[in-house]
Amino acid sequence: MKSKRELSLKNGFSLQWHITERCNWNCSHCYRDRGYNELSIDQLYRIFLQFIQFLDTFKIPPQIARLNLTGGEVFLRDDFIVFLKRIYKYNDRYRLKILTNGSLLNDEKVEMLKTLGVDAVQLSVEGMESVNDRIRGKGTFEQIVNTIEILNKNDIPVLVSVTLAKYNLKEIPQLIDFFIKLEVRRIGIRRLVPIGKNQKRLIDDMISPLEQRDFYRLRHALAKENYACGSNTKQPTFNSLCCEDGVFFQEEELVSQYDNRTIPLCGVLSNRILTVLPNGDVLPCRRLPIVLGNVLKKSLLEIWFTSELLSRIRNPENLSSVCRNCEYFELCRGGARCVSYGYFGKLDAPDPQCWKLFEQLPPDAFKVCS
Amino acid sequence: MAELVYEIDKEKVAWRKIEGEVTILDKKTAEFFNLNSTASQIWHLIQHGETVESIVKYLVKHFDIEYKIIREDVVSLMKEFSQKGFIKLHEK
Repeated sequence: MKSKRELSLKNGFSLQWHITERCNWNCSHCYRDRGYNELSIDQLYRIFLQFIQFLDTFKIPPQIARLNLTGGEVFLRDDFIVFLKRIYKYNDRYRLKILTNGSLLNDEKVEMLKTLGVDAVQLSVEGMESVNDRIRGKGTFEQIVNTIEILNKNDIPVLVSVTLAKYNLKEIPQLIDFFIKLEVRRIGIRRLVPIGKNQKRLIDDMISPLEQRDFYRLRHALAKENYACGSNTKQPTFNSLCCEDGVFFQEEELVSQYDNRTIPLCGVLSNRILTVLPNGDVLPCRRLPIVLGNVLKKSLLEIWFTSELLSRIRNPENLSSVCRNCEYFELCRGGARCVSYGYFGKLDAPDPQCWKLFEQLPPDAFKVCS
Repeated sequence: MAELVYEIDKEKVAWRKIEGEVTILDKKTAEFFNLNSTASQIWHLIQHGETVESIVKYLVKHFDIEYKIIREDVVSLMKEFSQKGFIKLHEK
């Protein structure tokens, strides 16, 4: 009997862990759709040790081991800081990011986070003030800006995440400009994934495949312009490829300016992510709502290793022949599994925002997927 | 008379077939073990509650190797599985 080398995770591992589903905001497009009983701090700690066991098993170096703690709103848990203190002794084993709406952060808490090894804080915005506040609630844009200033003052890197949709497509350049001036570290422009209780509304808010293509072109042009402006090394990145950007590889001219990629962008396909929900349910990704198991019953490692469903999702052979026969398949790998599944309700479906297949969002999934 | 057979200790291990071969996860130590194709077949037969004797007979039937050699190999592998705690004796 020999140890199995193929099971190594050379691309790293990232756990997104939702420790609460409670939230003090009521964003109109939120995909939280269930009430969960929260786990106790001791249960959380036992799950955390499973994460450490996972890193140990695959000898994943800290630079590519990530723990993203999120909710709901994590700071609504009174014991969140206590939990961070409890896990701090393992802090050199992974990079820790907190995803929050920022509304409950103040100087005192941010100073505390700094001592607890938080490597970055991620905040989400939906657009400039009027668009953002329409979705996230009145006054939330101002709160986000205030939080960024507090985090900057304490030298905690800020990442801003924007979900690309009909309602903010036109103001993306303004948004990038605004957050560059605020000196955030990275602006992640993500694709909209139509899942959860507001799925229908989210589908209505999706941009067309051609708009998606034009967005990639615009973003590239903006990056070129900004990087050409000067030598400010503090400039944030906003054109890095995100996990849903497989379809981008059709833009051959732009792709040639990125490093060659040998792994699929999608974290699920490349085997480098898992998500744990507040009740311990494990998903392949937060945006692919298919339960693989529960960490209260089986360890994270066992779920990752034994889930037939996960193997099936990860196997590119199971994707639609429309994708497998495409010249870009090796890089694109069917685009974003989460967007396809959310839109079509099928795991093997092609990406509905692939402009090689569709000019407009396809109205009938079955014609395409059969 | 009741027969003694080995059974897989599911508290101790989980396993999966990867590219036709079985990989075992030792849940207690978080180690992986890879079985070659013959050992994978034996694992499959243990899983189905076959006795050592019936596993040997099955392999003799499918491989052109002497009974004695096969028996030695099977017993040795079962011993290794057993020492690692992957299987335990059970009355059929």
